[in-house]
Amino acid sequence: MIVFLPAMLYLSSLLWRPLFHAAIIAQAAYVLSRGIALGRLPLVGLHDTLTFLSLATAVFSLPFERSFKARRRFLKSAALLAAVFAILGALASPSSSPLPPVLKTYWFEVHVVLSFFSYALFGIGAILGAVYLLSPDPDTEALQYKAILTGYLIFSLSMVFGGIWAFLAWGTYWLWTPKELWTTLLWLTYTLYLHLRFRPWWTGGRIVTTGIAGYFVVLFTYLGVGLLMKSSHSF
Amino acid sequence: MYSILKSIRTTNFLLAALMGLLVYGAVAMPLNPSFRSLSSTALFDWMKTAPLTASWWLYGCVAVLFLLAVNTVLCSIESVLRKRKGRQWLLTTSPQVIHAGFCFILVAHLLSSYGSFHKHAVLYEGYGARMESGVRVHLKEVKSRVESGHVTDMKATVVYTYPDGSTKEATVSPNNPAFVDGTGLYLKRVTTDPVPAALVLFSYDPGALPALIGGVLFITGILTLVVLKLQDKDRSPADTA
Repeated sequence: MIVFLPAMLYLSSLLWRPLFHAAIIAQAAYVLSRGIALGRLPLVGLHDTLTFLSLATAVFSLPFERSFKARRRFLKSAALLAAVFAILGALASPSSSPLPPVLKTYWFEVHVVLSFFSYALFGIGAILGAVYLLSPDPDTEALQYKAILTGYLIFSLSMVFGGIWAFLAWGTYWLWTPKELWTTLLWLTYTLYLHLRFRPWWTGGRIVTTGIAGYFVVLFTYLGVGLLMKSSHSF
Repeated sequence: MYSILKSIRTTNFLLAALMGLLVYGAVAMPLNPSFRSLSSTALFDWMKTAPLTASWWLYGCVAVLFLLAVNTVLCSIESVLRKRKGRQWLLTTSPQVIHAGFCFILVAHLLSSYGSFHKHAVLYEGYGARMESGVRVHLKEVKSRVESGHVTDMKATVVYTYPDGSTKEATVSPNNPAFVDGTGLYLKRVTTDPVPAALVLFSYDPGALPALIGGVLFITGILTLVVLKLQDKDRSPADTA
């Protein structure tokens, strides 16, 4: 039951905002308790990664909600997204089996943590894009750009760390698996977003929609590939 | 022609084309058994033997990446020349550092696609194998720890014997390979039953160092850009083109 508590608090925060912070605290405590019980960062399997993504989405939304007009709509959307991930995570069974030796390295932990931080920021970018489409405001578009640019930095860092880990574990920084191709596609999607933004025709709704579309690539790269295709990243 | 090659519009078309090819590849790869050997073969060697019906999108990717590399270099030169007298040199140079990192990563992939090799071998305790450089490697000892039916730790001690007769001992474990003449020895699996043995991977990847340099340059450039962009509220994206 305790695994559903953060989700319930996120959903309740749609009615009473302070519960959003309570949800973050409850979820952080749960993640911490999982980490202590496992003796490592709880970042393996759907249960732990979805929970971590939910927490990261909620935490990274905080600095953004302070700085623009449509903050209530933004915060509600962020709470909803965090709740969806928290519910999906709670429904997935936790994996408590010992880690295979190849995953026992800081490179893996840093790679995964940074990946989910970037996914969270891309999610916030998508939310900001949706907020912009509902009430167009250049400040909201600028915030989406900042969220995506920061996410792009963190995602690139994650790829570099992943490459170093892959070299130490498998003898090459690049493996030909669907996950690697989709990760490259995700990186190219946001590279395209950042370059399209230079073109006057792409300003406003079009670029914002591209930022939203990128998040669908994020979701497929994380969940679709992990669940449907065999790769070094299968769940 | 030059104005087309240096344009950011071309960049966007090329990125979109590359994405289209990769989407096809990501869908086709799991469905076609000929891709199974791709991770253990240098890309260009694999492309020579693979049927064109399977590999055409990789030829497409190579062509698009070549054009993208030319476009990146020309676009960067153009941008630096246009803004060389501007005051905000960090804002002008950081995208070019990102582009340099990208080019290093492309060179890395080119080197890996030409000259890398990955070969698995089973070494039995007390026995060994000869590497292409003439160095002999023999397995001295393997150790593993099993918890609840899962292997949680393993390591192997190997001894390298050089052509001049000198020896060097090394311990390898997952994420902790040993290197001789640029070739890495990676421990993949160990067994003690029926006889102590280790499945190892000999791997050489000439693209690894340029990839690392490219990654560092890329991160340095984008980190600088993010810091500048987060500080500045009013600057338009065109300032960093």
